[in-house]
Amino acid sequence: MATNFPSSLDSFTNPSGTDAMDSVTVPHATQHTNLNDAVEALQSKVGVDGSAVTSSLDYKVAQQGLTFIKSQTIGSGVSSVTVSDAFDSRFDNYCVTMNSAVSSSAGASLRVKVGSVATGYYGAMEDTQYTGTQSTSTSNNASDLTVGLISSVLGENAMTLYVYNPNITGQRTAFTSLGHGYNRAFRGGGQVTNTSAQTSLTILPAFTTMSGGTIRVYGYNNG
Amino acid sequence: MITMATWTRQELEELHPDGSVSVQVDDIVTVMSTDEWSAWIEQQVGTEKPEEELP
Repeated sequence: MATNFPSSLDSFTNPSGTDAMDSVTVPHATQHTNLNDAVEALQSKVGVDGSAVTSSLDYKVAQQGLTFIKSQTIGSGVSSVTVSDAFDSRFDNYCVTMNSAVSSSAGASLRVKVGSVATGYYGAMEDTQYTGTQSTSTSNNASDLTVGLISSVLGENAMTLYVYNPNITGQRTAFTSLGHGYNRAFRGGGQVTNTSAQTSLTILPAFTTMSGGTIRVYGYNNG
Repeated sequence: MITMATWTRQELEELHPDGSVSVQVDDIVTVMSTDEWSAWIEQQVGTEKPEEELP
């Protein structure tokens, strides 16, 4: 029997210890043939490194747009959360989401840092309240970058943060953010002038603590 | 001119008592020492209080 894989799963008859080599039901040579065919079909399905065969798993994985890197549950009453090993050489750009966290005060700014870099952050974050009132927070050679807002109301806080080039030596790291919190929609952008390769990200609520929720990090396929 | 209320040290200490503030690195949560906590509180003294949330 030739293999049916990958159209369907094979169902081979296993030989027993008492079967003769020339068994009618499980001839020895046929056993090898079936196994060889099945292994070759598996190899075709998996694909070689850098496969250009569009039906192979190697090709499909390489075409995947976003790769999940890690998630971090936020503890209770923390003034900052550092996610280590968030960035590496596989990806230039990253998407970081944070939701379901709450602040201990009514509302606060959300700030970010990369690695141990504590200077040279520049950027602006604009927010609009439901009433239409708008305001802008700026970071001008600051020790961190303001990217969003967080409140004490469970469920209303959500942020997507995009991080560009954090692990590329010689380039600055840039950030853009979108989200909602503290009765406001916000958007922001900025950079840090440090050009060392960074591997970690720290999110900190300004002048308060936060609890609960999850930070998730994804890498964008470089293509 | 609108004048926003600002935090006093006493208010901040009541909101964030010593021993209640931690720093998290991955899954490791470490409570700030009293000196670290005091310095963290001091950074906030005089900053604007947030408004209360709308319903």
